[in-house]
Parts: sequence; C-alpha cells; structure tokens
Amino acid sequence: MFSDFLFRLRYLLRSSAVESELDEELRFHLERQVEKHLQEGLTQEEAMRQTRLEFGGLDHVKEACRESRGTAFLERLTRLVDGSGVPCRVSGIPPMPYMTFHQTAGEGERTYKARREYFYTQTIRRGLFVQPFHHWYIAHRHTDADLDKALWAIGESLELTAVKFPI
Amino acid sequence: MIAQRIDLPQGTLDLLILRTLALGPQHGWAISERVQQMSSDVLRIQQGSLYPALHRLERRGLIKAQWGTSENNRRAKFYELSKKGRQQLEVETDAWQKLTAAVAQVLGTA
Repeated sequence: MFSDFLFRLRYLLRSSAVESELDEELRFHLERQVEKHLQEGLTQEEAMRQTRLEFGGLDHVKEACRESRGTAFLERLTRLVDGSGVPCRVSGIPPMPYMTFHQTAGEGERTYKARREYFYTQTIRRGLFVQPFHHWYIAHRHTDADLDKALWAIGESLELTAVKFPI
Repeated sequence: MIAQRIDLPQGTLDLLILRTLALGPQHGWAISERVQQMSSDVLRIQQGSLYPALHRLERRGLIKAQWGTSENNRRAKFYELSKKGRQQLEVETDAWQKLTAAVAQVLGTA
C-alpha cells in the first residue's frame, strides 16, 4: 500500500516528467527492436513494420500504462471538467480527486451555489455520491467498471449543468 | 523447424517478468527478449503489453525501476526485483507448479 501511495505521489509531483519518461522508455524499446531486425537482414522499412506489428498500438500501450499507474481516473476527470464549460476545476492526487466550483465575475453567490448543488444532485441521480466539500476517495475495492461509471455520471452531470447554467 | 508459438495464458505475464528479473536487473526490451529465449521462442508476447505490466508491478512494490545506461550506451529504464517481489515470485511459482501438476493429472499425462 505504501509503495502504491509513493508511486501515485511521484506522478502528482512529476506528471509531465513521468509522461516523457514513458515516451523515452517505449522509444528505446522500439529502436532496439528495429536494430535487431536490421541485424537479421530486414530493410529499414521492413524492420519498422515488423516492430510495429510485434509491439501493438503505441497509443493503446501508453493508455494501458497510465491505467496501470492508477492515475487514469484523475487524468480523465480533469479532461472532462476542463472541456465541460462549467466553471470548476480538479485538483488533488490520483486516489483523492477534489473538485472545486468557482463563482464567475458578475454572478451572485446564489447562482454559483445553485450550479454546484445542481451538479451534485445530477450525479446522485446517476448513482454516484461524491463529497461536495471534501476529497473523493478511490479505494482498491473500486473496479475499472465502477470508475468508468463514475466518469460517465460526472460527464452527463457536467453537460446538464452547462446547459442549465450557461456562462 | 520453428516451434508453433502459443499466446501467453492470462495472468502469467507478471510471473514471467518476476522470474526474468530474478536473474538480474533488465530493461523492458531485454526482458521481452529473455522471455522469448527462455521459452525457446514458444511463448508469444505482444511486446507492448509488457509495459503496463511492468508499471503495475512497480506500483505494487514488487519491482523497482531506475534509469541507467544500456549495453549499447543509451539511456534506458532498468527494473529489478524488490524483496517483496522475490517473495511474491516464490508464492506464484509454487501456485503455478501446483496448478500445472493438477491440470496434467486431470489430462492423464502425469
């Protein structure tokens, strides 16, 4: 459990470095495999083609690595929120996301609170209860399907919130 | 004659990685090559699937990673077994041997 915590904390502190390290690690593998095939007598083009076949889809592998790191939920949540048009943001660490709603310029406190309440009401209607004023917690017991369902509920709730409270 | 290649059974990749790293620290490409060699080219691994498994094992504290210099003088990420990983390897090897013995017995080949 402690190594898991440290692993995720390292990601929080160095997320862009971790991503570029992943790129570098995979690039090393692919280049090494191409070299191997060149030594076996394949042409550059054949070696690259063979390497791609043996390796599988690069984007898929990268996404699977992110899933393995346990950071995918926070990343996907951040993308959802940032693209929603709802004035809120995501912070926290991968197992403990935190969502904060903002009061926009010229809008009263009542509107901003109503927007926040509406969003959390919609998540509850979709079977998801997340704390409005506290970090959320992802436990080992949560399955990938649970997390996918949570993101679906958040996504739909954000869409409805953006329509009901346009900025 | 080239032996027919077999797709790796579900859940055995972690065990093979741990076993390979018991021989010493390796980078991902070398692990993939070693597994291929040790299985006499019978096991077929989609090479990309190695990396999510390595990251998962690192997250679980079963292996440790650090950057070093490869055999061809390039920067590469090396993995090595942790103490916890060595213990896990023993447990999983034992479980695997029991499983294969039981299956072989059922098939009447024991």
